[in-house]
Amino acid sequence: MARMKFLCDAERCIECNACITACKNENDVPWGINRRRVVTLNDGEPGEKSISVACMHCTDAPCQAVCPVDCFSTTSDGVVLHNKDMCIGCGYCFYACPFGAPQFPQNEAFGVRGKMDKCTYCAGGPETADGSAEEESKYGSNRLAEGKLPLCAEMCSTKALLAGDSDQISQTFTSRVMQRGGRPDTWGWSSAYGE
Amino acid sequence: MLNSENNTTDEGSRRKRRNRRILWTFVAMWMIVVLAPIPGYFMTTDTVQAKGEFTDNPRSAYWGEIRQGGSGYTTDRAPEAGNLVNDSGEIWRVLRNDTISPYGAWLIAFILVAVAGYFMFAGPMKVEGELSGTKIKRWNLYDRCIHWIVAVTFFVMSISGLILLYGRAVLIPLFGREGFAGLAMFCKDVHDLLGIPFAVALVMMILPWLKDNMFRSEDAEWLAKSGGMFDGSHPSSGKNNAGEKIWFWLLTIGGTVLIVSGVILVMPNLEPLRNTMITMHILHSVSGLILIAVSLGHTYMGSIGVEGAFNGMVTGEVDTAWAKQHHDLWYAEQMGEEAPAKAKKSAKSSSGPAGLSTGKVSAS
Repeated sequence: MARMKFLCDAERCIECNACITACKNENDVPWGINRRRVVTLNDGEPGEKSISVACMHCTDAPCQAVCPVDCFSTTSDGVVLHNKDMCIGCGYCFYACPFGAPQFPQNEAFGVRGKMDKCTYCAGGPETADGSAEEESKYGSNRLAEGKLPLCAEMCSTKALLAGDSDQISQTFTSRVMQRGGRPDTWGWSSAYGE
Repeated sequence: MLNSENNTTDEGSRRKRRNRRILWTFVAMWMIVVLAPIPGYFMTTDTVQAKGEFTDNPRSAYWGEIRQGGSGYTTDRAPEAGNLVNDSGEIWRVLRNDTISPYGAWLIAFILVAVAGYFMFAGPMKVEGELSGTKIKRWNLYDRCIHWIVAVTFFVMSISGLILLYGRAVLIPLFGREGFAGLAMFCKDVHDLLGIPFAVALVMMILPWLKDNMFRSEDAEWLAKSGGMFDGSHPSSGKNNAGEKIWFWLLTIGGTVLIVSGVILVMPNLEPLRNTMITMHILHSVSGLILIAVSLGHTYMGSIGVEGAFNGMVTGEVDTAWAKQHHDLWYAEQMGEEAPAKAKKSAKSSSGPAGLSTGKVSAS
């Protein structure tokens, strides 16, 4: 059984933000919600690294563990989905998630947050029929049901963002690391060329 | 015979010598195999230390810093979006799921069992002797209204809060996830909205009741005797006894924590930091659970635990015999007849023959 994951190769990410654009367009994500974001570390300094983050589809997902209505579920592909019909908008998943993945459409007084929204791994919703209009409007597209990977990773121009079965993408990443010459060379250069 | 014997010993010693030679050769070979690489080992260690690569991996330091909550630039305008990893949510998860929930449940269960056990073994506290039939005012209309507003809002918020905390474990197996989600949504809305009347009423209750809940000298004796819960005595007290005062101060402190943390939690539009919300949630659930547990004791005492107490908060009036037994100093003050010291004496005599005490009350 596949266990789907994202893996962002920070050596390759060029902060073009195309993954965000792809995600927003494919899933009709409303204003104010970013299912995916690119964070640039040490921006403008030597050793600058960019990394694209979204829901990591954790194996032991903290959001799932704290949800008071137990509306999260993990699919057989290892994708963590949440049911917007059951969601009460309490914000607990947002407290628990280390990556800031859960997003809320509203942010108003008296705890009005609306239904939580997060990356679905382009796998639609847990309770809607695959590819139905209801699923499209509620959760966005269901590419996984069509045998396609999430669009953010598929569109990545430098192939920095990898999506797929965790064994396969980690193999891809490992072979890249080996070809780059193993350990630290490209990371945290202290001087430009050798000594 | 001798010759042949010599021959065999010669042959035996030769074999022994050969075996020894083989053994030593093996030992020497083994020594070479084991020891030969050691100088090279020393050499590599030297070069590695000189370069300082293995002792300080820049890559691990870089990502270690990010793991500890470092942040960078992002086009995402959401608060804290530049923060890649914030693992304090994991602490919150463990505290909420594995510490606060089970210990809170045990605390409430313990109080319930203690109250039920006390009721079964000791029974309700009755007014000793006959009721005088004469009533005196204990709670005016404002006191009663504000008490019941606080009580009802507190009760509804306790139930809705408990449903939000324990519903997943207790109610989902009963209603199913879909059924429970509707209830939880309702509870969340009620909990969020009812906080406002609760907060206002609590402040309006605490302020006027403050002066009657200051600890005084007689409270030490009352506490030492546990308010006569176990020995049937009636230690003297003013308008509120030490137990009521402790409940008042618990409610004041816990209620303030609940209100402040609740307001922060219910105002996501003010964009509090994630760590602030996590801290507030822990404070909110801990103080809520403690107050719920203690309120069970208060509810028992105010309803079936002490005869006459409930009517006091409904009609505002109590029987003079009840007042004399439970709040002798306050009773004396109300009558305006005796000094506190004298009242204390009369309170003690009230545990004497019933007829005497009733007689005295009706006389007054």
